[in-house]
Amino acid sequence: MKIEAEKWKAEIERDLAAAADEIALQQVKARYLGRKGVLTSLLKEMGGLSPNERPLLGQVINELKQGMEEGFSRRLAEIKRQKELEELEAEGIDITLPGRWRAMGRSHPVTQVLEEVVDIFTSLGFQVADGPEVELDYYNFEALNIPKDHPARDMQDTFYISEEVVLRTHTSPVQVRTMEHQRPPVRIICPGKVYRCDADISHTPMFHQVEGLLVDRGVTFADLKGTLEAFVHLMFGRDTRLRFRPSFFPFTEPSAEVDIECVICSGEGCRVCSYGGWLEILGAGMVDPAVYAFVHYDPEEFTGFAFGLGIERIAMLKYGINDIRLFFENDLRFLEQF
Amino acid sequence: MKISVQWLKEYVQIELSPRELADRLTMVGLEAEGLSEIGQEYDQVVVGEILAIRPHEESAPLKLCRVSVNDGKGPLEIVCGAPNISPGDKVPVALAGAVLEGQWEIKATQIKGHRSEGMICSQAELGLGEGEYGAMILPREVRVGQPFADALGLKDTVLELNVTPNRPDCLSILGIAREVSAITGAPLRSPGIDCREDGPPIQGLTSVTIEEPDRCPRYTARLILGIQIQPSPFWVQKRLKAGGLRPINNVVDVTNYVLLELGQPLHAFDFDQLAGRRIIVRRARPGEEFVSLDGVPRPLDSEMLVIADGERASALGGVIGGWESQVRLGTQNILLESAYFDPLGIRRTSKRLGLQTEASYRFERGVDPDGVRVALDRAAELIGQLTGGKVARGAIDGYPKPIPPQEIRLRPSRVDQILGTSIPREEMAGILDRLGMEVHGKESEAFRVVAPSFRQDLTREIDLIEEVARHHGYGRVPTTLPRSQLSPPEVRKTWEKRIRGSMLGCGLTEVINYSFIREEWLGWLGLPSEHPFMRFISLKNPLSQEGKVMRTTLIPALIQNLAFNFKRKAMGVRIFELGRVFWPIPGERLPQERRRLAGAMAGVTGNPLWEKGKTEDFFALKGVLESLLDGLHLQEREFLPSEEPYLHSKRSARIEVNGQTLGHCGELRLPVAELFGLTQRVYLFEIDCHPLASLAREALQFKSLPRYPAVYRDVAMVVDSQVSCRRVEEAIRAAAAGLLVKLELFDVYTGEPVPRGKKSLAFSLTFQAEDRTLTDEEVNEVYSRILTHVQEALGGSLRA
Repeated sequence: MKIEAEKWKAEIERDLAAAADEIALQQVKARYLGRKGVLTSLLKEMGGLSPNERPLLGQVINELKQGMEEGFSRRLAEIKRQKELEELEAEGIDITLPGRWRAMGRSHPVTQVLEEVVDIFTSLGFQVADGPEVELDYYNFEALNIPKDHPARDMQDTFYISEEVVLRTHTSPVQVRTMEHQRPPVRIICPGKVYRCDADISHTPMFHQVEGLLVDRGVTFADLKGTLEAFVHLMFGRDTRLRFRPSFFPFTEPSAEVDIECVICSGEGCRVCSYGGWLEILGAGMVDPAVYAFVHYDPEEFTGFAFGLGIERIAMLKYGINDIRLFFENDLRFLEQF
Repeated sequence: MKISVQWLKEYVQIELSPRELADRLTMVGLEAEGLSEIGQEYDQVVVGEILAIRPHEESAPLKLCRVSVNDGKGPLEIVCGAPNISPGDKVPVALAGAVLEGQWEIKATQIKGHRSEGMICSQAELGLGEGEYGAMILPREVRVGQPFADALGLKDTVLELNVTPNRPDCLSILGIAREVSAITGAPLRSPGIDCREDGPPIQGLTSVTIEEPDRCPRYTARLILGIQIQPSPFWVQKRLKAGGLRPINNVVDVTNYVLLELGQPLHAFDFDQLAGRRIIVRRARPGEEFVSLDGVPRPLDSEMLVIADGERASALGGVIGGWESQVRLGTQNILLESAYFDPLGIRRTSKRLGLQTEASYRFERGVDPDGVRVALDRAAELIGQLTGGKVARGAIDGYPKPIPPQEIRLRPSRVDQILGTSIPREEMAGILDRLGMEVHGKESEAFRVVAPSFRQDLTREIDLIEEVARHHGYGRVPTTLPRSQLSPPEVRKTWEKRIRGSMLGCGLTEVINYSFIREEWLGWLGLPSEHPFMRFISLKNPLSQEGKVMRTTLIPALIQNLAFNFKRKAMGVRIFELGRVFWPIPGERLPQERRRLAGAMAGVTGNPLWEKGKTEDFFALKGVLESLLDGLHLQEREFLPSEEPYLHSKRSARIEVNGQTLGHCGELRLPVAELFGLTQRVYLFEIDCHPLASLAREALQFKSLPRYPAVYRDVAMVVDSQVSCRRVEEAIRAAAAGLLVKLELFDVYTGEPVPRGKKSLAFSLTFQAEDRTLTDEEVNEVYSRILTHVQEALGGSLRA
C-alpha cells in the first residue's frame, strides 16, 4: 500500500486554511482525526500490511497526524485572534470623553504652607505647642516685657475683649505659657491664628503665625542663625541667601529681622521687594532676660532664642499672590488653584 | 524718620553713595524703607542774568527782558511783570519744558504781541514759600547757566528710616550722624552754637517753678525779645519739608528745625500772653479748661502735666501747646522752652487724649536730658538770627532731679557666650567707644561702661551685648546648629490630619473664615436665646460691625461662603472648615476654645457633568460624615432626630458616637438660606472635634480572618412608610443572633405592586460562623426567624 504523503499534506493544509471559524475548524479536524476520520481509517487498514511495510507507513501517517495537530492549533490561534480583533473594533470608545471622578477638595493655601513650615521645624526637633487665641493681656504683653504704657504697644494694633483680655496679637504668649510649666530644654513651635486691627491690601485683621522657641544651656545667637538658615534653605531652596539685621522686639535682645533674597527677582530688585532685592520674612532674637524673670529661669544658666514668621506672607511670596484679603474671601476660584 | 542726606553731611563726612549709606544704616538696625531724590522738579530751571530791560509799549507793568542763560544760543527774550528786576540781576529762569509745582508746564509763547521764551520765577512760583514780592533775586556769586537746584543746593536725597521704639536718639539728624560716625569712623562735627545774648538779663523778667520734678526733671527757658514774625527763609523751609513738616513762621519753624536736627522738642510761648510772665510746671486741676493750638478743647485731669502761667494752663507739657499763648503774627516777645519730661507720663497723657505729636512721640521714648540745654541755645541762636529779636542774657535751667549716667558691667566672655562668637576685647571696647560710651577696666574681667546721656535705653549688660553685635555685624556672627539633643517623638495631631484628609477625599474644599462674625448672622439662624451659640463674647473695638462677635459656631460663615460663591456662578459647592469657636465660661476671664469641624454643600454634585449631575441631598451629606467616622474606625454611630432650629425638622440628625453627641447635620431651612441670599437647598453639618479626637485615639485590635465560608441571602421586607430603615435593621439583627456578620440595604422601593402607605426595603445578609461551615439548615432557620421577628415586631411582610 502506498500513500501519497505529499498530496495528503497539501490537502490538510488547504482544508485548515479554508476553515473560516472555530466550528468549521473542528469539523476539519474530525474529518481527519475523528473516529471515522481519514487518517484514523488509514491506520486501521495497516493491519493488512506486511511487517516490513508497517513501520514505514506508520511513520508517514504519524507525521501527517502531527502536521494536522500543529496546523490545527496554528489555525485556531489565527481564528481567535481574528475574532478578537473584530470584537475590539466593535467595542471602540471615545477615550477623549472626560473620566468619571469626584474631584478631591483642596487644602487651604494657608494650611498647606503652615503644614510645610511645621513639618520643617518638626524635622529640626521642635515640638508643636498650643495656646489660646483669646489671651490675657499678661501673656500677650506684660510677661513679654511689654508693660502697659510702653511705646512698643504701638507696634501692634490690638483687639480688646476687656481691659485685661485681648485677641492675641502674636503667637509669642505660648512661649511664656510653655516656660511657666516646663524647665529647659524647651524646644517648641506654636502655629496659629493671630489678630490685629488693621485692614488693607497687605493686612487682614486675622492672620497666621508660627512662633519658635529654644531655651537650653549654651544656646547662642549663632545657633539662631544656623536654625533659621536651615529653615530658609528647606523652605525656599538651598541657594537662597539670607541676611540678619538688627531690629527691636521687647522680648528679645539682641533682636533681628531676617531677610531672604527676593524670590521673585533673585535680588535684582523688583516691585515685590521694593527694588531692594531683599524680603523680610522673620523676626527673631535672643530671649530677653526680662522674660526669664517672669517664668523664673536663671538667665545666667539658660539662654535661648525665639523667632516668628507670618504664614500668609510666605504663601504670598510662594504663589505670587498680591492681595492678602484673598485668603479669607474663600472664593473657590481662588482656593481651587492650590 | 525722614533724613536729608545733605543736612546729615553737615554733621559727619559721608563718602558713601546714598544707596550704600541706606544699606549700611539698615545693617546696624536703622532700616531704610525708602530713598527719594528731591530737587528733580527744577530740572529745566537755570540761573539767568538780566542783560537789558525795555518797557512794553502798551502794557505798562510788563517788561521786555533780554536774559542770558549761557546756553551758547544767545540771550532769551522774556516778557515779565516783576517790579523788582534790574539789569545785572541774577534770577531763576524756567525754560520751555519746565514743569513747576508738578503741574504747570512752561512753554515758549506770545504775550501781548511779544515773544516770551521762558519765565523769570518768583520764590512762590518755585514752590519755595512766600519770599519777597516779585522775582526771586539770586546772590551775585551764582554762575549764569548753572542749574538752579545746584546753585541753591536744592538737590538732596531723603532717606526714610524706620526707627524702632528703643532708639529715640536716632529721631534726629544728629542721632543718625552719630551712628554714621560709628559705622565709618568719620568724626562727628559738633554744631558750632553761638548764641549771642544781646538782650537784657533774663533774671527779673520771668521765672520757672517746677512743682512736679518727677514728671518734669528738667526745664530750661530763654527769652527772645523784639522779634518780628514772618515766613522763614527758604533753606529752613526746604529742610522742614524734607523732614516732612509744614513751614508756619520763623519762630515755630526754628523749633521744628531744631527738633529735626537735635531731636529735642521745643515750644515757644508768646511771652506777653503768659499771665504773670512766669511758668509753673504742675498737674492740671480737676476740670481745668484748655484749648490746644489746633483749636480743640481738651479735657484735662490731674494725671496730666501742664505748663501753666500765673493763672491757667498754657500748654500740655510735652504734648501740645495752647491756643492762647501760641506764637502768631504780631507776637513780639517769646519764651522758649526746652525740657525733659518723664516718658511714662507723656505716654499716658497722649494715650488718654488720643493725641500723638512730634513732641510726645519723642518724649515718650525719652530724649537726651543733657541735650535739653544745647537745643535751647541752638534754637535761641537761630530765632535771634531769623527774627531780628534779641536773646535775653542768661537762661533758666531748672534741673531739680538730675538723671545720672549709669554704669553698666559688661563681661566680654558673656558677649561671646550669648552671640557664639570670639570677638577680641579690643574690638568690643572700640565699638562701645565709637558709640559714645566711656569704657573703664578694659583689662579686667568685666568692663565698666558709662552710657552717654542720649542712650537712655542702655541699662543692662544685654543692651551692651546688642550694641557690640550690631556694630560687629550680624553677618559676621558664625552660623551653627544648636547642640543636638534628643527630643521625645513628636505627637502630632494626626487625627486632625486624618479629618482634613477625609474631607478632602469627599471633595470638600477647605475654607478659613475670620474668627469674628456679624452678630446678625446668629439671629438669622433663628436661635433661641438659651441656645449655646447665643452665649458669645464681643470685641470692644471691632474694625466694623461685620466682625464684632467671636464666633460660637462655624456654620454662618460657611453659609455666607456658599452664597458668595453662588453669586459668582458656582454650579456646586462643597466646603469645610476646621477651626476654633469661643464659648464663654461663667466666672472665667478666658472663654473655652473648642475646635470644631463644619461642612456645607449645595448645588450640583459629582463629576462629570456629561453624565447628568445630581444635586446635593441629605444622603450625600450623611455619606461625607459616615466616610469621616468610618475612616476614624468609629463604627458605633447613630443618626438620631434633631431639633436644631436652623435645620429642616424632617431632614436633620443629631450625630451620636458611642453615646456621645458630636454635633448636627441636615438641610438648612429655606427661610434661613434666603436671609443669607441663597435659593439652593443647603446641606451642612458641624461637629465637635474634642470627643472625635478622644474616641479616635482608642487602639485597634486585630481580628483573625474568617476560616469558614460565608452564606449570602437577600430579603425584601414590606413595611409601613413610617417605619425607619434603622428599626428594620435592628429587628433583623435582634433575630439573627451571632451568625449575621453583615447587613446591607440595597434597595428602597415604593409604588406598584407595593401597597400605598408601604415601602419595600431589600437587604443583603451575610452569615458566617467562626468555628464551622454553616449548613443550609442552620441558615434557613435563622432566616425564617428573622422573617417572623420582623413580622411580629414591625408588622412587615416578605415582599412577594
